Amino acid sequence: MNTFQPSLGDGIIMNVTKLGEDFKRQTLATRLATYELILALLKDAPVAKELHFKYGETCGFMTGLLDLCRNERDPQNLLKWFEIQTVFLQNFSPSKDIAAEVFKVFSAYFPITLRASATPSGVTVDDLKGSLRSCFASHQRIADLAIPFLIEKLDQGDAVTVAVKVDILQTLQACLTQYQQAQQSVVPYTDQIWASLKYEVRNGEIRDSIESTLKVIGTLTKRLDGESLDQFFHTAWTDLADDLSNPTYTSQAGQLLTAFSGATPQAFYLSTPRALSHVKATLKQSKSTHHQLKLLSLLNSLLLVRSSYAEKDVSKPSEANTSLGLLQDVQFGDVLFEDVYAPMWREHDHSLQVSDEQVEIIKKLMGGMASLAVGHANSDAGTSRHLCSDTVREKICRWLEMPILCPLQGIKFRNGAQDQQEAELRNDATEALKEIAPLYPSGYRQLLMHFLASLTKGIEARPYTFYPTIYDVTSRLCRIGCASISEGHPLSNIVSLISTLLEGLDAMLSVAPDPVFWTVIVASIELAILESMSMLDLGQIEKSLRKENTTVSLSDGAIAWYPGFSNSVIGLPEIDIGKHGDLEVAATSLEKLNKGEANIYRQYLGYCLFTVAQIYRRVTAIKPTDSTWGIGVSTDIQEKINIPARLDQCFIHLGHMATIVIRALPAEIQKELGFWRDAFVMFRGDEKLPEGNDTLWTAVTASRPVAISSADQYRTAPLALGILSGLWPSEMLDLYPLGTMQRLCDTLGKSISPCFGDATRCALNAILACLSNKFTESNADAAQYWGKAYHTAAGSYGKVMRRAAGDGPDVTASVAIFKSVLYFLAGDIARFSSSKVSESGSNWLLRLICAGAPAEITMGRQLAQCFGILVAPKECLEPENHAILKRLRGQWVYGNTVQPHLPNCFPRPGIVDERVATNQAIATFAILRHLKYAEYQNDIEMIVRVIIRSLVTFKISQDMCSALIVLLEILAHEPEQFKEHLNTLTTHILSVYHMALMVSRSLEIAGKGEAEQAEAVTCRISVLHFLHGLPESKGLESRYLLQYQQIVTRGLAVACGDPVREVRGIAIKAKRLWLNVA
Amino acid sequence: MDNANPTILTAAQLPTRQSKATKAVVQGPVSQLSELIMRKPKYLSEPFCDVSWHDIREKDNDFTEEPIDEQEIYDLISTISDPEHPISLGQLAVVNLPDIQITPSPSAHSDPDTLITVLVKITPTITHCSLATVIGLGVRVRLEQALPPNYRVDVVIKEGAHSQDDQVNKQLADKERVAAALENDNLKGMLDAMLATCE
Repeated sequence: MNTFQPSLGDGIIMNVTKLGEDFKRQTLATRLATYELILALLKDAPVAKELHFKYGETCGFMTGLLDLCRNERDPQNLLKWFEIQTVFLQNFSPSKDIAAEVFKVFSAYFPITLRASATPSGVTVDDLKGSLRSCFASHQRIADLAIPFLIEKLDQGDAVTVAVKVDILQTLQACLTQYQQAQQSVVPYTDQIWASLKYEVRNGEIRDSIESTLKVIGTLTKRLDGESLDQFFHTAWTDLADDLSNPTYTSQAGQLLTAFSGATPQAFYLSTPRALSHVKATLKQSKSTHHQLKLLSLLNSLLLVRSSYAEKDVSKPSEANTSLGLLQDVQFGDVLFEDVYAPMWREHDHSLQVSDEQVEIIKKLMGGMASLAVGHANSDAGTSRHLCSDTVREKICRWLEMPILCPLQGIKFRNGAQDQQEAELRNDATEALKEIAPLYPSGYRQLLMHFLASLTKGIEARPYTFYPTIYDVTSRLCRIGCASISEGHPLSNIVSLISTLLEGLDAMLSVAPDPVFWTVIVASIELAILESMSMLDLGQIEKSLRKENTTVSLSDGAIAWYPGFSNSVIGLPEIDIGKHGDLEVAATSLEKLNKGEANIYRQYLGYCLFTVAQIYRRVTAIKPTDSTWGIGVSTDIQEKINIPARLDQCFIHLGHMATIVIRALPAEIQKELGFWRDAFVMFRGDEKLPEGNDTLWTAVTASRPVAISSADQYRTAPLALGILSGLWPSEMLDLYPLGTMQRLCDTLGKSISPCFGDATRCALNAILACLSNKFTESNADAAQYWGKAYHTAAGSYGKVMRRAAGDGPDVTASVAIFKSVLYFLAGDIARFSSSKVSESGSNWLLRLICAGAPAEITMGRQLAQCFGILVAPKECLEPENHAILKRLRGQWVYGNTVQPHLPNCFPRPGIVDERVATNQAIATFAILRHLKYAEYQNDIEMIVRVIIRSLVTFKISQDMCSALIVLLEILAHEPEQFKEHLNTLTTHILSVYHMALMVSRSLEIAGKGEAEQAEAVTCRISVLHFLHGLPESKGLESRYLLQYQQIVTRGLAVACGDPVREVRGIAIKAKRLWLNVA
Repeated sequence: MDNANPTILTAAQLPTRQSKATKAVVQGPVSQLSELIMRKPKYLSEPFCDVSWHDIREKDNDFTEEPIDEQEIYDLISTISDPEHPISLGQLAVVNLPDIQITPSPSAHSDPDTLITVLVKITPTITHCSLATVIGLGVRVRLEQALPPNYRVDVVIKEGAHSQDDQVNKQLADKERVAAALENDNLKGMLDAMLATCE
């Protein structure tokens, strides 16, 4: 409108208004264009100036427009019309009469709604509400009309729906927020607003309208200051004081008071003295627990409001100056604790009965005390910046730890409380301490010391079933200590926690005869490391350190900083040399360390390694093996083992802990520290042998091949696995030339079962998979050793296959050897074709096994069942453990191990007999259950036929479970494949259900077979999931299913009486779906 | 509408299977990380591997054999919607746990062919409720759909809870009238709407 003459604006408006009654007969588009034109004119400053000059306060042009447009109903046009009125009220200075006239026009639309239309305009009811709200809030000159109007609407009572009530309240809030000159536009209506709104909260039932009302109260308070604020509080307090004394309205009055005090620090300053003294007096008089509960809730809310101001003040010094002293430090600190929380805690400590309300009160007390303990002081920057004194904070911590530690002492926190109530209190105490611990590490250390004392006492007094309690407590301690970065040194709480657990482990190793207690503590340390790693976000720190491209690489000085941490911090326990720690000394010593990000990263990893190494050394000892020296179980532990399997479990946890720590180390640090050696010497490489002057490492590597320690029947294998699993492949290059893999293949392929247990064998198998996976052909030497290992594995398989000729190990040993060979191949095929040795031989061993094993005459079935090992998930082959995994390995495995043998899943006279076909199907499903659907999708028709045959030929076993898993996978992806086979499928699948039920019943009568029982239940669940999925799947129309409705619902009716409740639940859902098939 | 303002129970007030709920709370704040640590390693979990694994926490066996008991019957019918309100029969206290009887008493190893009778007494929210028959019919249909063939279902109005309880009981016990009612499209639609909220 650069060249537009402002004087023409008036003429245009006048001409438009002359349309009169004809205007509403214009099309929507014409009217819209007209509104847009007028809006553009009013927004144009020169035109507006011209209009203002010509009409002055009378704004004659607007009168005509009001007459012209007052009947507008189109949503799109209304948005423009409302905007015109908003702009007019904001940009012009109309007289009171004209403003009233405008108000009359737009307020007639309030509350606005939108009828559903056949031709929606794209405008929503919220757009209209927002636009109309802008008119109300446009200018304070209509405040005397808008606020009474809205209040009047609100006071219509039941005639107003919730949606309208919320609209009114939001509009009122918009007005209160946007009106300038609050003294003239808001203050005069304060009493009126309060008088109306207090009932919305006091007697309101609808959450939305209550929340909107509280927001209005908050906004209103924000607009007041000085005398007007005093006056408003005085008015409000008269009502609130009465309501606070009345149990029926305490909660509502508390909400209003919180909304008021939460508006500004001045309001908080004004309201809290009276509120606190009134609440304290009422609490003393009140006998009703319900009333006490509500009053405590109010106190907790006020504490939260205060802490929100205090936090804000810390971050913005300017605000701190303005509100200095407004936060009532004196009234909220020790005084509040001593006046309210402490007496009530003591009172409820002695009460004999524990009702749900009393539990709630204790929970509120815990929450309030946590707020007090973490509160920041604000009034005097020179003294302590904590709201409460150290004495009070210590007392709070001591009280809050009681619910958590009581179970260790074999007592209840509250006598007479139910288990669920006790558990709730423990959870709340945990959450409260979680808030306190980062800000008050000293309190956390007290808790840990009390835990240690209770643990050692408890273990002496309590029976065997004590260990779940210990784990419950330790997992809470981890949650508390690893929730967030602690004040002072960031690792303070983590180091205190792990140090305490280490002391606990040492105590358990000395006192507790059952390894399950050791396992509990080891698992707790593992949890502490995992939780703290997650909290510190170690991966992110490493990334940012790399990004910064610091002049010092991550590995620089690793050899120095790894032991450096333990050397520079005094007071850490070292359980391998029997040295006890001191938490306070350690914390003081820790304070002095550098707290930069890179330093924290190194200190943390250094401490974790220090922890793992000392536990490894504590539980092991240098012992002689068949040919040299190795690592066995430490003598004191060996003497105590009554259940060897439990010790294996403890070592498995310990190994896992080592994996977690070692895998977190970047490759360059692993290289610098040479961790691969520790798989053989378990952090004792430099120690001297009991006889002679050689170090252990020298002795172990004196002759080749170098073996995983065989001392104590290879019992420490899980520990070696733990180290190897965490290593990067590039940092294991020096390991392969030692010939360890070949030696392991040889050990595991021995015809006569070696003397180690099942768990040890499993760990050795996993080591084999890990080594075969992480092999990278670095040099000819390594490749040569790999080739030897490959041929050794092939030789083991040969032994197994010669069994039928009476020239091999027994069935159990054969299957065990066969599994080991499969583990070796599993690691290899996860990085398929990466090995030149296997490539040149076209993976001949794998092909040989796939073709020959299922056809073996005497134990083909057992061998076929093991095929899942090739692809089943394994920790040592997970990407987070740096395993080498090729992207298309699934397709490759399918193409090489399953596809060529699919035709052999059907008997063919003279070529494949019944037995071999069934075995081949077992092997097929053992693999397919671990593959993705897309990987075998191309042969799905044939696979469906194999499944149908298998439903009849398989027993209720893992084999059947595998077939059903594949069946469900097909149902999820391509149910139309079943169209042709529905008759056979439904009949066979129901037979499987009945067979599984019969198996369960016979096992029940025989009273044995937990694993078989679980298989039978799993089969039944899979069958029912399949039947449930058929009518639910979109790929199968109901016309295909209708003819099987009767037979399936009959079968499902029986399943509705299944002995297992979870199975019945699925059957009921499936039956409903089938009954609705029509 | 017969009763525009019925008394409604909150979810916390409804009877639940306490033992499992309690155990879940007793376990405390066990995080995902804790689960990760406690699970049996995969290399010990392969099929046909007999290595034992001792879970150091208290855990329930999910596949324990448990007979159909009163609570299970209650769970089946308490989620049925009232025909007038969008509220369940459990919340309206139309069906109550003490008003469910199973004869003979549930036992874990009972013969699957033993005839078992389930008696459910319903309590309409008001004594002149015109929809008591429909509610009874809904309860009956739900139980007949969800229980195995050896279960017989009896649905009656609780003594003194309805002014015409004799007539309503007679209708609910009459198999032919029940079958005929299910042929009625309007009634069928109403029942489907009531049962739509059942899981």
